[in-house]
Amino acid sequence: MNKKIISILLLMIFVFSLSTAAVELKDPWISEREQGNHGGMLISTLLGDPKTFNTIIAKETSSSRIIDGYIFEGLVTRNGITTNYEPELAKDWEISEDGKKYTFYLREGVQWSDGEEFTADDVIFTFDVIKDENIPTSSRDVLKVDGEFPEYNKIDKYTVEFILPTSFAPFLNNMTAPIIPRHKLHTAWQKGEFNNKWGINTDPEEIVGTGPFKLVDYRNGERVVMEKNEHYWRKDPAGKSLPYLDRWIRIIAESQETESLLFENGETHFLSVRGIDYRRMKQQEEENNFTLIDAGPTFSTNFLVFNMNPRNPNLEDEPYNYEWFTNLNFRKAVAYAMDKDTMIDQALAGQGSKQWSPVSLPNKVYLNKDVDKYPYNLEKAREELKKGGFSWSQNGELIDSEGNKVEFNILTNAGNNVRESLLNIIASELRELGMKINSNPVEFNTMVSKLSSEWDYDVILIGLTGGVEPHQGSNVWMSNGHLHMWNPVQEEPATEWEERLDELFINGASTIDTQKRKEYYDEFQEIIAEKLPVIYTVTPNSIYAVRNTLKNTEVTAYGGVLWNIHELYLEN
Amino acid sequence: MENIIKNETEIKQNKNLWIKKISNFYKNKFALTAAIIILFLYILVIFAPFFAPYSANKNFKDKFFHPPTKIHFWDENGLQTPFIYETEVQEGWAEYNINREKTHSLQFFHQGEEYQIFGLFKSDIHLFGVEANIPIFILGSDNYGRDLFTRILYGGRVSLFIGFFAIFITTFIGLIAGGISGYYGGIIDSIIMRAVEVIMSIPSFYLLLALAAVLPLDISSAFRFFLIVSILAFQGWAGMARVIRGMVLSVKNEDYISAAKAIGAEDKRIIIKHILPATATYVIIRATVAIPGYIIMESGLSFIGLGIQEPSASWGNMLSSAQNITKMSDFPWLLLPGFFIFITVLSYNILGDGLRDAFDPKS
Amino acid sequence: MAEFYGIFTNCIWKIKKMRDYIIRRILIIVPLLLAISILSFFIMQLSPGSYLDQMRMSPDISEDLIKEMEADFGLNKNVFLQYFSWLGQILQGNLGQSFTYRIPVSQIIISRLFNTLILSFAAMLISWGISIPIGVYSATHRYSWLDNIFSVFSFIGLSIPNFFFALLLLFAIVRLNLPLPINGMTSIMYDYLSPTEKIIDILKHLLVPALVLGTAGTATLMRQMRGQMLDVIKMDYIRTARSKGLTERNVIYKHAFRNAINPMITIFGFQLSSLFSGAALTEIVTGWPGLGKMMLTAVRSKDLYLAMAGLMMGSLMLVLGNLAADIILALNDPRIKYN
Repeated sequence: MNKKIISILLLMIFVFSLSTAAVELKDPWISEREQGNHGGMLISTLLGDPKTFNTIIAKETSSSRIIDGYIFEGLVTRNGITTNYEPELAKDWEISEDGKKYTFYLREGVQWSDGEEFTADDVIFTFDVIKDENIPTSSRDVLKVDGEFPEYNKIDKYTVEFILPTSFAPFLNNMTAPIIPRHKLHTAWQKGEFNNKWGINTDPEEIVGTGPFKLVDYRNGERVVMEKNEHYWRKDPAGKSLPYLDRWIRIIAESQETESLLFENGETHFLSVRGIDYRRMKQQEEENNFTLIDAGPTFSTNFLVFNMNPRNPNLEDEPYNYEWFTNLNFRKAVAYAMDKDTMIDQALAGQGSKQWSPVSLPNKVYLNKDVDKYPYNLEKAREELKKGGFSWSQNGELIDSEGNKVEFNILTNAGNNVRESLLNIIASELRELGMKINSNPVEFNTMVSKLSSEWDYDVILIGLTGGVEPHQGSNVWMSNGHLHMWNPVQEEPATEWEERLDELFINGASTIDTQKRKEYYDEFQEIIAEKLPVIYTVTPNSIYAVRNTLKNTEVTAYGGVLWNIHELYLEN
Repeated sequence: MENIIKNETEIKQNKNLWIKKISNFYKNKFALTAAIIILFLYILVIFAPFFAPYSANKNFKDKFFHPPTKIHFWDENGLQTPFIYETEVQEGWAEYNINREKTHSLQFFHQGEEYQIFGLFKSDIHLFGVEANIPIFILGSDNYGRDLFTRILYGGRVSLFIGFFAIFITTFIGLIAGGISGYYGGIIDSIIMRAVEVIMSIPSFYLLLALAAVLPLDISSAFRFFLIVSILAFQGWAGMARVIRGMVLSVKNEDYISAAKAIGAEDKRIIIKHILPATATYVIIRATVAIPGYIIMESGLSFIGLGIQEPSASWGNMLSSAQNITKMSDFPWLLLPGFFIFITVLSYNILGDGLRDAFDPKS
Repeated sequence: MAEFYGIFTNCIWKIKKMRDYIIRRILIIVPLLLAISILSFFIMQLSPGSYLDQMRMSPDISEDLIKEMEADFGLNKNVFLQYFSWLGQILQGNLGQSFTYRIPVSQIIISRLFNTLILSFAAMLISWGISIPIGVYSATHRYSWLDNIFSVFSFIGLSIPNFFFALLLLFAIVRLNLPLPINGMTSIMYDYLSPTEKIIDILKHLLVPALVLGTAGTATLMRQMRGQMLDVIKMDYIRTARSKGLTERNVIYKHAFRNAINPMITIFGFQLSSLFSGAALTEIVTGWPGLGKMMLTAVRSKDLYLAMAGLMMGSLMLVLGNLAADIILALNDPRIKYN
């Protein structure tokens, strides 16, 4: 009797081990950086709690930042240094001649952190979920090409294809969307419970990804603890499975102040340093055994946008506002009044860069450095105003050609110190020109509703975070876009140059060749800099303090410290 | 007739008592100093445009985080009229060096920007200033190159008066609600007292938070100030009403009130003439103790970004914008608004304590 | 021992006698909480917009989806219906779902509530522990230099905004390299510690926030204690006790102190409110995972049910605290009639 049980058990163990052994990683990725020590615990900070571990519905950055790339991975990714596409869960891909068909060959033998094999079914499931209109996700609309969700098919266990209605170059960018495990979530999705799955109260065991780490503990308001994913598909030069780090703890800090206190107290391994702290941190470098790395300007932008929308409800009372803002000389005058040196000094504590073009400064591929620039010069600003038909009263107040005093509001969102400072500086310069400026920080929601649906503002100081792919800005720059802020959702482009922008974006998206695309986007940048529907200001630099014990780091503005977390290791 | 005589002697006794109380208070050196400091601060902020060399938003944009300007009385030639050295922007960020070549004498009753004090009178005379466009920052400058001293004076208007107005409204509502409740009793009493209980049962900060989140941000700072005051008063009146009610209840049954009632005096008259004065001591003491609480609350609201908004100044928002280790260690003068909060709150507390000691009938 | 037993039976007897009073007091809580809930619900509704506004701004989320979520959250009904459905849920012991986290509110709030209670309790211990002895000392050594120094120090605690004091302390810890934690409630190695070490770990983390919060309350308490002591000392029975030749020590601690402490219990109830309020800001600065920070984000993002639950929990604590104070007071003071 006992023997029987034992033999059954043995058989079961055998079968079980057989089944796991069957998953064999065929195409590992091998690190080319120096061999590191395995083990150790990385400690860093997080600003604010995660809201969910469900990456598909994680809208807020505070949640997706915690999981994407670390627990979940996409088919492709962008290199943290070059920002070029790199294989991730797909080892390779093909694009058909006409640019309509993308075929992805998945890495064979990749395992989820619970040991299940990752296959084409997971990919199909992920896009099924994204396509589902009942799931609140921002990935859906981004994936649509010409308003249509691409067709996607499983070819075999390790191959999937996507068929687009037309050629669409930015498609690959959307393939960085994280893939989720079918075996864990399929039933919930079918029952219509997907939206409540993987909330912050979920047992960490349940949360399964293909990334270098897996969640082991989350304490509300305290920390997120992750552990190495033993099944990870990236290997070190010696052939051992990565990541080097055993554990990764992220302490939840309530403010940037706490973050820097924790770093200075030696409790964390790296810190994103604010401009104001730069000089002081520099003095501590040696004593506290860390290095300050200036990775150059960030992708974030801050710009002024003028309301050139003829549908502005305020125009009934103040029709002249529209005349001023659509007057190119007026906008040029404002551009000349941007004292970017003072902005960098005062708002960014000396650690920033001037921005002239709508493409973010660190964009190595598409940035056009050769656009019109408007260095600070109040004299030139006055000249432009004169050219535009403005004059000054005896008290120095600016008056338009009809005799109206120039007075308007500039809004920005409260709570963003940098932007509030910029607003303060801009307002005081424009006052020098004789304009009467009412500057106001407002609640973020209020500002966005004014921009996108009410249209009842004068000028807004806002920022958008750019990316590498310029087409991501299509809803901003194309005249029918929701975020075409100065005059949104136009049926017909109001001006010739807006019409040209539309053309450029359509061409840019349908062309696959990067060099050709760059020509289109170069022209787009020139137009914006010349016509100034928005006026760019300054961008903070991304500066990191990294402990010298943390090795294999190569800090960039795009990827930060953690883009190659699988290769980072701690010195003994 | 008898009653009147009794009343007169009572008034005389009362007068003597008050004189005694006041002289008690004068003996308390601590409290007296505190009272003088408070008075001084109020004068300073009321006449801020005169005492401050600049207007609240005047900025010297290349002189941000400028350390306090030293005022010199001596140079190599001996004693001089007070003067300052000009500073120059140095390479590097927020670093300045003193140019010993260029001196500027300090001018008292200096002619500067024109201002109005509460719309009452106009002038352009400032207590002190320096010729031309040379900045003088006696307490340093902030991140926009605005004079901190100037902003402390203007910010003090908000901080000092927020408590003042809030306690005024609180007292007003508290007296009326408590007075009516205690005097009439019955259903009105129960309704008011239940309302009081409800408000007192919500932790004040949570209530404050919920109410402050209602405020739109795009309102003028004067209106915002008014709304914040109303919010503070909204949750402050309850405690006041409850105590006043208790006092009214106990006074109501005193002989002289019954007598007044017997003569047929109107309710209104009785409340105003007899009952409210009986609560005066309590109200004064309570006010002195409550004002510093409101000042602290305003700074707390500023800390979470719901207080007075830039570019308007208040001690609270100035202090909370200095909440950074670098600012604290490299530009410590930015913490001065905190010092002013501290001094004011301390003085009010000591004053309140002194008043209680002096006026408390038990001692 | 016998004396203790006597006090004990006395208490039991009193409680029996007070039963009606206590029951009545508890019954009052119900309508009180109801009124609080109405008030807070409508205050929350006063501010324009709802949680979904943030999503409306995102061009990626379709209008249909937002409508669906609106229905899901019950935000499409009118305010009164919303209130009553919320109330209905509460009566069934369901605090509703958080919009932001999409999980039941109770799962978020319970640990936070508990943490705030720990912090408040510790702060109370500190403020009572400091203020009572000092109050007694100051009263018995009135106007001595130590009395003056204590007064000034207690006022200093009262005069620094909590958030600022906390930041100064944290700053000092970093600068002076003190072996004290500066954020949170447990250290990262917490899970590997033995139970005693765990307690020590939490106590270490508790030190700064509790100190900040405790010192803020000390001044008022100390002044009150001093005042009460002074009043009592002047009473006839103390004079009598003195004239009987009892030692000063005996007079102060056996007679005066016991009588002076009574009115302090009323203050306990009042103090609770300021304690919870002060806790919120202190929690935010020191990263203590309590109700305060949660409330702040919930109110700002208009996570209605979460904010409501926070408000209600805060109020409940306050009401219960006051109840406890009243009962203790009634137990201790024979003069109070239970009506």
